[in-house]
Amino acid sequence: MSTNENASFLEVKNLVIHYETDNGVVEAVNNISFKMNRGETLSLVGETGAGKTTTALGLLNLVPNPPGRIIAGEILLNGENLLKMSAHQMQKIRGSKITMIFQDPMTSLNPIETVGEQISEVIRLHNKVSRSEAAQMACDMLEKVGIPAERYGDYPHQFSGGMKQRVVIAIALACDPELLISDEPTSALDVTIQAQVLDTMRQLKKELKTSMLMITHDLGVVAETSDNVAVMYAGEIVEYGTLRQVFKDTRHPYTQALFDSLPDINKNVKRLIPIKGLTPDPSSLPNYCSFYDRCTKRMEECKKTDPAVVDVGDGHLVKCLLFASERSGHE
Amino acid sequence: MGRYVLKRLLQLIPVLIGVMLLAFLLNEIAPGDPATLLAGGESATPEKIAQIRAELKLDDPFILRFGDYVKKLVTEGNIGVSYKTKQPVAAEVAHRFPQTFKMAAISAILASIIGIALGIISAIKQYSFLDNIIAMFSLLGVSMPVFWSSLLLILFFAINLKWLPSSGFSTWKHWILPCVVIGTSMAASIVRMTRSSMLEVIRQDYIRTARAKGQVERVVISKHALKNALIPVVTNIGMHFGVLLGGAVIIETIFVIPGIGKYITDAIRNRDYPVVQGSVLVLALANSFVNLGVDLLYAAIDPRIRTQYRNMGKMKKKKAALPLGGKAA
Repeated sequence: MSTNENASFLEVKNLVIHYETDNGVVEAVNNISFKMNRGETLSLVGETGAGKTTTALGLLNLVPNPPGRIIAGEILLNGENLLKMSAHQMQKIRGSKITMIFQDPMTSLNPIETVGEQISEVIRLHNKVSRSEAAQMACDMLEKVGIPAERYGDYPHQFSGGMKQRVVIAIALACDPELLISDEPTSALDVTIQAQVLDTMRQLKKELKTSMLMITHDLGVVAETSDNVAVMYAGEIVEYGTLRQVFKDTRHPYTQALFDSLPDINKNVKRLIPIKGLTPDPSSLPNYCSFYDRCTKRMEECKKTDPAVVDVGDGHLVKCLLFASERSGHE
Repeated sequence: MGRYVLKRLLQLIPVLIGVMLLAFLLNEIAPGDPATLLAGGESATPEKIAQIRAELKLDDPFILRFGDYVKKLVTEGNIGVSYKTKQPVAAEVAHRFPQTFKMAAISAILASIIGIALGIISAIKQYSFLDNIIAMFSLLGVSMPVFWSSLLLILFFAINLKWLPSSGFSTWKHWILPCVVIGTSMAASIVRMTRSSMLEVIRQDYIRTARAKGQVERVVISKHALKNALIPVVTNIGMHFGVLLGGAVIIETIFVIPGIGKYITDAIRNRDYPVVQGSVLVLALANSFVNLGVDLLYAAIDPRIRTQYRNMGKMKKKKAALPLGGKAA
């Protein structure tokens, strides 16, 4: 446990994750670094295929292997490198210190176990309690996420999508995690249910003082939930800062393009501006700026070098040549 | 659940009637004449043949004979009397079926244990050396004809090493060779089935959830993956078992085991219709029970199927007479 409450308890340094397939190496996560403070919510934003989920799975060391492999980097939780841990040590971290809510609640619960059993499983794994105590704790957890405890013995197919996601949340929060990773927790749900589920998450997060890594492509969700935002593109973090910095003082052309492609209720916009082109093929990324091909502000130099990360003020990091002159390179 | 079972047992009645009718019809249209065979072949006098035909009521119309058969079955529980030996079929089947059942059961258990275990190893060590070795052996197991592997095993264990008897069925030692032969060929297909089913399940999100809980890999595989992967495997085992109950004629012949398979093939050769009908009836009943067992096993594994059965039971609230299935077995 860290003595300083404000010290970043999670630090990811130069993480590189590749999928090595027969058709070549897919560079899913390329040299990303970020820090998280206790109690903070960091959003990881980006298009499909930007490497958000892979990053999250990397934190749990659950990248499917083969074909996935963590090539380099460090993941420090309270100063301890998770990537150096034995399988056994890692099992103790998963489910208790770092937990994860997965994207699709329909498939992330075991169809042939009762939901109660699935919650108490994680409780028994990380706490020295008897079966009946664990069951009681699981019932409490169910109540906390807004499901009556009587439904302990029901099976996943007897629940709706939103209810299933609540069960998944209960599993993730059952052992009072330090870090909760939620991988697009609401994208598979109806809009009305989305708000409910987000509410539940926010409430519980506050109650348990959990830090959260929120993975999403929904900028609305980001605005509602996060303290800090990291924008990912082609496996890299292209812009990082506080919610205000990224939303109000947008720097990177990609982030700007993301905002431009959203409807704004205050403006009478007839036509949205899409981002032209496609994300680059992650199995053959260019050695220059990976956003070059789609960038509206590209310059000659952009094709010559891979831009360094620049601090444009108060920890607002941007990986773009446009800002290279503002501050000295940040590594 | 009880209602579902009751419903399934009631469904046996039309099934068995259908089976009887088919068996009767097949005998009717099959070439050859039992009376001629009983009288001693083509050289027998027409009078003799006619006399036997009359004795066996073979000249009666089809529908009369079928009605007579069903009547005897229902009123006396008589499934027929052999033309050839004049012995009741039920007695002979009661004597032979346990042997076949024993062989099928031991083989199936053996095959399930080996097949599922190797299938799991194959799946979790996909593309490894071990996986390839197992794939090779299962290919061998599927493609090797049982008569050949039987003969090889007899040659090696019975004749060269003299460890095991080559034929008969009196002690447990007699059962080893036939059950190993059937068991390995059956295990081979179970291995493939378990492997592919496991591979599919292992990729599921809930397996990732289990791992994300910090569950140890052994439990992830045995508790979360295996149970979900078992359903198609159970079907496969049930089907094999059903086929085996029909008797493994080749094995029974090689190892001189008086099973039901040999009984039926002999009866067919002799045009001993009552024997064929009676045995087929018993086999149909046995197969139906195996199927019911498999379906109940599904329900035991999968709560979704359990719910389905419960709903199915609710739909029909009719009460009916005692099911026929209660009597036999």
